[in-house]
Amino acid sequence: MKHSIKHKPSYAMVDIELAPGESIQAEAGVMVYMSEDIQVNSVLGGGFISALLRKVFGGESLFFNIFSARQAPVSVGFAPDLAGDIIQLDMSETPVVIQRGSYLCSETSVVLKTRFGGWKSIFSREGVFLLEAGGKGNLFLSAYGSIMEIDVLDEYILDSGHMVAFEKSLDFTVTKTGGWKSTVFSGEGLTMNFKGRGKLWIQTRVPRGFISWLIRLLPI
Amino acid sequence: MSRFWDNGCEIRYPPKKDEKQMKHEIIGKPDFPVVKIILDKNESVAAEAGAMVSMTKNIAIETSARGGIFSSMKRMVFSGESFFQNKFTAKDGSGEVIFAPETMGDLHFRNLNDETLILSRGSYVCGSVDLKIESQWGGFKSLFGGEGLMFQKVSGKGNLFFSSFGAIDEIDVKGEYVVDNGHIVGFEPALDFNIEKVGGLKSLFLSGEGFVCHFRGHGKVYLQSRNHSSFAVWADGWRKVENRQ
Amino acid sequence: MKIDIKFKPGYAMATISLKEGDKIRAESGAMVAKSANVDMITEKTSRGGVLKSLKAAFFGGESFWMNLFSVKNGKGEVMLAPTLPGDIIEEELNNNVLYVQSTGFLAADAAIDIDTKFQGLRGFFSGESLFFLKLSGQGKILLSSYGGIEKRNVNGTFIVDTGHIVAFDETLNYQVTKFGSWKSFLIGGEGLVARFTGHGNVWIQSRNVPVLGQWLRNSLPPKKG
Repeated sequence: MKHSIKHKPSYAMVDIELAPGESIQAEAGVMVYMSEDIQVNSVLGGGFISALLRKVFGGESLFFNIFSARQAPVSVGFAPDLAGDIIQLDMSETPVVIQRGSYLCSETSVVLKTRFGGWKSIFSREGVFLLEAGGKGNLFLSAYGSIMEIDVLDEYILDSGHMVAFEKSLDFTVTKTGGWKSTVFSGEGLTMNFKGRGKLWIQTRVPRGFISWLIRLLPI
Repeated sequence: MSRFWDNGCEIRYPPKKDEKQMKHEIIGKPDFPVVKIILDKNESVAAEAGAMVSMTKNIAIETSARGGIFSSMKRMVFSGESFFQNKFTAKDGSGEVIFAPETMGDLHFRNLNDETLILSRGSYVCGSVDLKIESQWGGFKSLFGGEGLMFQKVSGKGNLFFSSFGAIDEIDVKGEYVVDNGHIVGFEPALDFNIEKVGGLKSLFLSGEGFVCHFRGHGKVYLQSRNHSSFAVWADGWRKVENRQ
Repeated sequence: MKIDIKFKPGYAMATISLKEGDKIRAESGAMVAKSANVDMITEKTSRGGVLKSLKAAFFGGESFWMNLFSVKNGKGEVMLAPTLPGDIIEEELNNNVLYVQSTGFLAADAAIDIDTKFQGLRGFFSGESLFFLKLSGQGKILLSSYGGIEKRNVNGTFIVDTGHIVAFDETLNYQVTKFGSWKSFLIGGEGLVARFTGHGNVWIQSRNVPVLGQWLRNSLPPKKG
């Protein structure tokens, strides 16, 4: 399987080339183009219950499409709904925890399951359920904005809306920024406090930030 | 420590010798960039509420109504910025904070050396604590140019980081230049300007162009490669219509 | 006419350097800035079909009116940008015909014929807010996209989600269908796709305007009717 990510970082699209017999699994609704002779199967993701949870809370749809090349090599292009970046992770050892909506596509050898994010939030609906990816192979994530990779060495603090994914070797807690008063007035929502060693991927914008900005500009 | 993509994006490195600047890096211009501010021990930076993306562990945040309650309220009502501002200070050593604006757009740096910049409302992201931000600037007197209320005045000695809708282009005006109002992010007050319609009366109503600003003299204009007003009008067309029963 | 495109692919803007005799026609609202000696005249698109163009004006597609830029003396420049964030690409028509999706047209040399009247290409989109313009003649054109733009040469078959089509050569045959079988259409999440066959170019954009519209529709407060 060959891949190339184009139009980075603001309108990234990934081109996947499949050799005969190879397959790729993708979030429903992300196909932009494909050359003829691709077989497409629509399947319920990873077991009905976890797929249902993923739909209700995880932000991903219930179904995946699996694209397979038959006799001839084929190419297929995937892009997410919103503006932003795509990165490729080569899964091998450390599982990665992914924010809802950031999963784009992966080799069928990558294993996905839902995971409870573990915090209650009255400010932010993000991250109540997360996806955990394990196994081997290529995993492609998308985000709103561009994606930055941070090597956390011992501790790092992140506004929760900017979280895309992190290696499972990192622990995190959720806190309010700077005390209760600061939370209501300072504009920061909840922050995630990461501890340990591992990689963290962040997105440089938040969709609701764009919507708040836009709402201020709208004619009544 | 962070790595970034390598499609030739511009990363700005620290200061020219004669400018006193905060150590900073703008990462990823012009597509969804962020600014990383590197603070020495006890050094502070002021920021728009909600602009913080991430930071190292030893940064303290103070929230205040910048400039006092009334001028903050004025600023909120007229300039679209929040009532409150945050001040980030590095304690017990140096630290880093990454800031981003809310919108899809660019991030630009400007050093003000006892200078003034006229800046579009909502563009302020972060900057030196000592910069003075005045909420109202009545410079655009045109009744039709709705953009008149949309500018504020930033002045003093310090660093300013501001955003836009679209990519930011710096134009050094030497003589004359005409810019569509919806594409102006900021400009130096040394320039003379005149709000006009472009083309004739028919053009005014049918051209899709709003009012333009005719700049004359010498000075910098910061323009953005997208028009936030036109985009808002386009987006407005998609809104659901409430039916009154 | 020299064209320079900056800030690709996110917020591309085209700077057109004009000399005497050069004339460029741009979609309504595209002007960012210009030098003082460039003139702008507002005019109707050529042989426009009234109803279709009016509908387009209401939905924010190509307006009925376009602006013509020229310079009387010496040299001048005009900067153009579309409403949506995204990319711009320059192409040259050499007496071939191109179908350009309504939000994809930014500007063209005044010598290019722009026909909004033709009723062909039905069924590409499920709403009426997007449609195609027919461009022909000789000269430079500027296409804009929501997302990054790329040109694909089709030699056989190529299937594209219709919301991602910016433009295509008249030489291509096409068929608009739902993606896969009915079952996969309902559950597969794809909308309408165009199946191109033959030889020619397709310009695709990496984001989808109807999807953006739907996101805005779901996220923005309703307005009073």
